[in-house]
Amino acid sequence: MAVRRVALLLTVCLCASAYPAAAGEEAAPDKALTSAKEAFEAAQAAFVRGDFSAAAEKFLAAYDHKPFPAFLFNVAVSYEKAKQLEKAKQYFERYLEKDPNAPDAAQVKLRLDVIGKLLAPPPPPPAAPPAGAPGNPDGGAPPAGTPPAPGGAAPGAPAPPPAAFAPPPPPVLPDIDTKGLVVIDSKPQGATIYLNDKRSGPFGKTPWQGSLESKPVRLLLEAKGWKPEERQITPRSDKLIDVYIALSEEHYLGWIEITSNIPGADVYIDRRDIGAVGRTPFTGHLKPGPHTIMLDRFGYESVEQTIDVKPGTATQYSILMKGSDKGWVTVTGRGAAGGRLVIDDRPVCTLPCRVEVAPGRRDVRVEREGMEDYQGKLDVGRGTETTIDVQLNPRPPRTRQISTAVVALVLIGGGAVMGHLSQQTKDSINNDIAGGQLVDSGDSRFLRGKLEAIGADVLYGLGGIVAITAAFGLFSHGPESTGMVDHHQISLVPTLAPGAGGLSLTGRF
Amino acid sequence: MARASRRVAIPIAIALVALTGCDWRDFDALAGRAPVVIVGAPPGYPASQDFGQVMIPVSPPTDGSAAGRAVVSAQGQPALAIVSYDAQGNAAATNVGGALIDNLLGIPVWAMAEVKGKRQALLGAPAGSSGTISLLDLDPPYAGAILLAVNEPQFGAGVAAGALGGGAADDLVALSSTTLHVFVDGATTAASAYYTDTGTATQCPILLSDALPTRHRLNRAVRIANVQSGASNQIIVGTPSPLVGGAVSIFNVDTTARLATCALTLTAPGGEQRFGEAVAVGDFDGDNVPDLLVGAPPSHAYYFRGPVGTATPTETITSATGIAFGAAIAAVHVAGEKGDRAYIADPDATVGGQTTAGNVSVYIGFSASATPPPKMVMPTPAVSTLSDRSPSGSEAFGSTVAALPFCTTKTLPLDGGVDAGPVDAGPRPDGGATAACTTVAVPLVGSATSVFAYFTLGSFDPR
Repeated sequence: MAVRRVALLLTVCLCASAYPAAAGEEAAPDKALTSAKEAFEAAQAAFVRGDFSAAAEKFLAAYDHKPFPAFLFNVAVSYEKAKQLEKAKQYFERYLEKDPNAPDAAQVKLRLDVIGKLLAPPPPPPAAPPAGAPGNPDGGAPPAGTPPAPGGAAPGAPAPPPAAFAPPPPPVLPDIDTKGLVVIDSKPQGATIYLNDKRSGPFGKTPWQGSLESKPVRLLLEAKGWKPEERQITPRSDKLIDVYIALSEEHYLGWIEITSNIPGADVYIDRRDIGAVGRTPFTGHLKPGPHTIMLDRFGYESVEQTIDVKPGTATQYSILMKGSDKGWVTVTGRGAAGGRLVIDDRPVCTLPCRVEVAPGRRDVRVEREGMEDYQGKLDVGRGTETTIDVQLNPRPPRTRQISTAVVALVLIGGGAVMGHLSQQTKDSINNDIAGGQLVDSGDSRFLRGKLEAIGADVLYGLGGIVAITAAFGLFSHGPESTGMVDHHQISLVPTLAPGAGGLSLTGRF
Repeated sequence: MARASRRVAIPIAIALVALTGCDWRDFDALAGRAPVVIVGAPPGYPASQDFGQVMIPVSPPTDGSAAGRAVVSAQGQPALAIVSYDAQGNAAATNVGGALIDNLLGIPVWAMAEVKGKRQALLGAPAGSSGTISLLDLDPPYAGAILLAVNEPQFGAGVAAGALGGGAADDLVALSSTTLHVFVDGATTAASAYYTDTGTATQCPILLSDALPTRHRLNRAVRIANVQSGASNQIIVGTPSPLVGGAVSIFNVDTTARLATCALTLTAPGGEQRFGEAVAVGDFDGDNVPDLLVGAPPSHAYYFRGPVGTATPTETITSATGIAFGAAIAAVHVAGEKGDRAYIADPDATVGGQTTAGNVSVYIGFSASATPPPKMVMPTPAVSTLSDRSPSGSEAFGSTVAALPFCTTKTLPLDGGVDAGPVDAGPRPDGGATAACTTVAVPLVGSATSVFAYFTLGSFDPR
């Protein structure tokens, strides 16, 4: 207990000493950048006012303080808005010279083409139109919608074909706006930048400047031997956001590097329920002490390894992953969502889903209420993923068949009643005859009993037919549900590369 | 779930389909086993609502094509039908058309008798001032022809056929309203008027008044039988009268002298005007001597034990509720019984609230014991009463009553203490060709529209 108290106190002290330093250094480490930022904001204010020439000058001043290519872009945009296309062209070209790999380089080049056409001398005038033909005083094409000139061709006179004199439409510059700027720097420089989380991999290294989408983003900066830091920023097209993070040395954390023979395996540290913290190869700080590293990768058996992180150390762990002995069955498909996958008469999952299955021949059934079952036999191979793309077709509704069955039962019941009455009549006649009654052949009971018997037969017959119809309908199927089965072989192949060796995942599809 | 449903539902569906109801043909078979078989007018019969009031059963055909047969006529217009019963008792009626019906010129047949030796029926079609007698074949195609037309009032009102003397062929008897004609051996060329009632005769009245309602003149009672145990058969003629009491005349016939002489006259003991409207000859007391039963509507029938030697009836059968009790009478021998049963009809009786629905009362007149000699019992009331189970007004059930000779191959029960069966060969009672059957009697009852055959009266069903 005493040891734990000492360790906790030490940790708190280290944090207290490191954080104020970082916060103080983050504010404005670069006066030039501060001046550039001030100039940028003044330029944006002028741009918003519509004073595009002043905005261009301010952006140029900012560039003088900090030669970020984005400033040149904004200078060009301001001149374009100020109708100074020559200057706009000049600064767009300088922008491309400074940042030829800019993400918007292609769009800027297209824009330069358009500006070039606008700056080009007008084309020679076409042949003189016939006398009296309408036209502009300068001899050019009349603007669209221009009414015919007075004294021109009389109404009804044949008009010249418009295509013969229509000049090509002038090129149009699409709307454009200035760029915002995000400047990320750190101390020490060279820290790895992650956006939002580490699962998407490194974004860049400090110092970094450029434009980001106008939406909130979380910056993570991490450097070996330094305490990782993170910031939340919201880039905007009219702002220069300067992020400077002074990383504090990390003496009480350990630095780990986790690699595996299977790259891209999900990395879990201590807990799975919070999700993977990254993928192999994975680097990061960990609190000192024992930790459980878990690696997952489809087609491979999960691996767990316990490591002991020492403060202020950097350790590399290379974890070996083995291919799984199991196979997998993945079921997807139209109309299957919410259905149930049953393998060997055992429900296993709700669709769409993927389950691990022991290799062998398996009875697979996909059930869903109101749909015809899909049934099939699968040979699940070791290390094989079998994908079934099922198409479940609706089962015919049973309501009508049930109604028909009820009618059949009523008919058969009526037949039974009639048959009973007929039997009663027959018994009555037999009893009378046996009792010496002089029953005559014209006795109405003979006809009545016969009609009852015929009625019973008819009702039985009809009931039987209706029952067969109902049974046929009850057990009839709609269109069979179908499934497309694909087998994907997943295997490990020994791989040698310069400076490295191991197994790589291959699949046959 | 769906698979399980299929496993269960498919067998259920098959089971449901496999379920079949009753076989409606069972009822046809059951109707065939009905104790009483009803037959109505056949297709083509011109009087569908006039079928059964004039009817005689005849001998079954010798070719075995039917087990029983009867001839039915309408009382309102010329119309004839043959009713045939198969061995299972199923009845089929066939309309008789052709020249005979056309030649009757609208006069209906009111009297019929079987000419057994010729397998023909003698038909009488009386009119106001004349009449005809015809012969109809009893086998298909049921051809017929008028035998004789005579300009005597109501000639043919009563007919009979039987052995009265002369040759082997049946002698034919036909009555007009006044005269008894005898056609010896069926010949119509010689003089036939054997007896004439001019209205003044004090013995053997046969004068039939046309003032009698038509129903009372149908099926006039004319029988040929030896009811006095004489040397030969006699002619018994029943004559109801609208003015005085009816009578039954018994004639001895001399075919050589062409004369019928009065042997005995039975007068109505109660002065009944309809006495003699129906006459039946049968061995009602089971002593093997023919007895005479005379109907006397509205409420009596008189039994004259044979040999009939006196005009005093041996027994009187009375129906307290009779309306036309005795309008039709028949002697029916039920297989296994010692004597004949007496079937006495009241076609005007009210049954089930239906007026003129009609019924038939059955009486047993023989003693169950063989010794001492049987004595006529004739209990009152009847041992049973027949009627339509669904009676309707004016149905006139019992307009005619007769015993249908039915050809059966079933083993007969003891008949009068003598084991009568099995009988599968031997001469037919009607003298026809040998057939593998025995003829038993099945009661036939005619109504206004139908003929009822009672197959299970007694304990023996011949089907």
